[in-house]
Amino acid sequence: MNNGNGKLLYALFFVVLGMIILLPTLFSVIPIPKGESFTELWLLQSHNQIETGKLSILQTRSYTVNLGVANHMGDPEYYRIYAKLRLPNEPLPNKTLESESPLEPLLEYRLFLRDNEIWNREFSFSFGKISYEEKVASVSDLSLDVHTLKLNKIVPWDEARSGFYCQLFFELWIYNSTVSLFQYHNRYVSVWLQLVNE
Amino acid sequence: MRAIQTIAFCIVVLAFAAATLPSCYAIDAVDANLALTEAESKLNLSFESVAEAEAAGANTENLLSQIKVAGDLISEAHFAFRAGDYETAVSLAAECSSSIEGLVLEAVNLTSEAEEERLNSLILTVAGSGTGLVLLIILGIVGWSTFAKSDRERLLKMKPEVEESQ
Repeated sequence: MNNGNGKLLYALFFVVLGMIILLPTLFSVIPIPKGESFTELWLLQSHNQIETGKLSILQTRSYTVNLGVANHMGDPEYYRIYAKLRLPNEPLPNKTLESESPLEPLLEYRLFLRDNEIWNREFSFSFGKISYEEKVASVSDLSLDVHTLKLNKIVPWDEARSGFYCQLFFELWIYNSTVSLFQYHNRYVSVWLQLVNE
Repeated sequence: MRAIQTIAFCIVVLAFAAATLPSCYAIDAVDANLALTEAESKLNLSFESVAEAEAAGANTENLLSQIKVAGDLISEAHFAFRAGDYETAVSLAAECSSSIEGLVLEAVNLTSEAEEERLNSLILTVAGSGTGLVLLIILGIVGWSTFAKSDRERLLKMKPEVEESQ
């Protein structure tokens, strides 16, 4: 090793050591960029399996679905979930316009989740009384979670699918601190319920 | 006779009062809506302060569990409101509001504590790095001059060799 190379190595050693000493300060001053921020929403049917997205419903029998939310927004978030029930001719949320369904919610839940926190919960539901006629089925009440709700829905016969269908869906809303309002988070999950006459 | 008339009058007055008082104090949709709005805004404010404390690096475990209870209460209050049970809605909204009483102040205190702690830690880090850097520069200069000095001495000790030409 000649003299010039020795000097260069010496200088390099001190520069590297200087950088190492400065690293803690740099990390505490320069903010580390966050990754992609998003929220997961899922609905699983019995035994936590993703099935056909359809449940055959018999009167008074209880069914269970598992609803989950995971916060990956990089900050704590305040969510609201609306449980809604629709007939095939009633509107779903609009993904393109990012707007919610205008249907009245049956129930709502509030969640406060830290970054990377996961929430999931089992929902049991059952239809109290379903009366069938030739082309319609009348649903008088629905037990969802611990609540019993008066419905009085008339479910029409679906020619294409040969059955009486309605859809249970869950909309996700998120609290926007800037405007101090909840906004629809453009996410929903659903399950089709086929009412079956015993 | 007079006494019987007085008693009868009192009974009539009491019966009238019993019939009219509940309607005077009955809670309607407007009252319930007002109570819900008030509880909602308190809950929103509480969440914002807890989120701020969390961002500052404070331990918000207790505050979050408190706010979760309030969230359940407000959901139930909305359910009662939709079902037309305004009395329950108002009572649940009031319970929600009282469950987060003083939470904002606690969150603000935690935020300022966490910010102070962060500032102290930053000062300590910057001071440590600065001291380390100064020491490194001094060591570097001392080392460099020693290195240069020994190099010069080595050059001076070198004897020129003259080769004889044939």
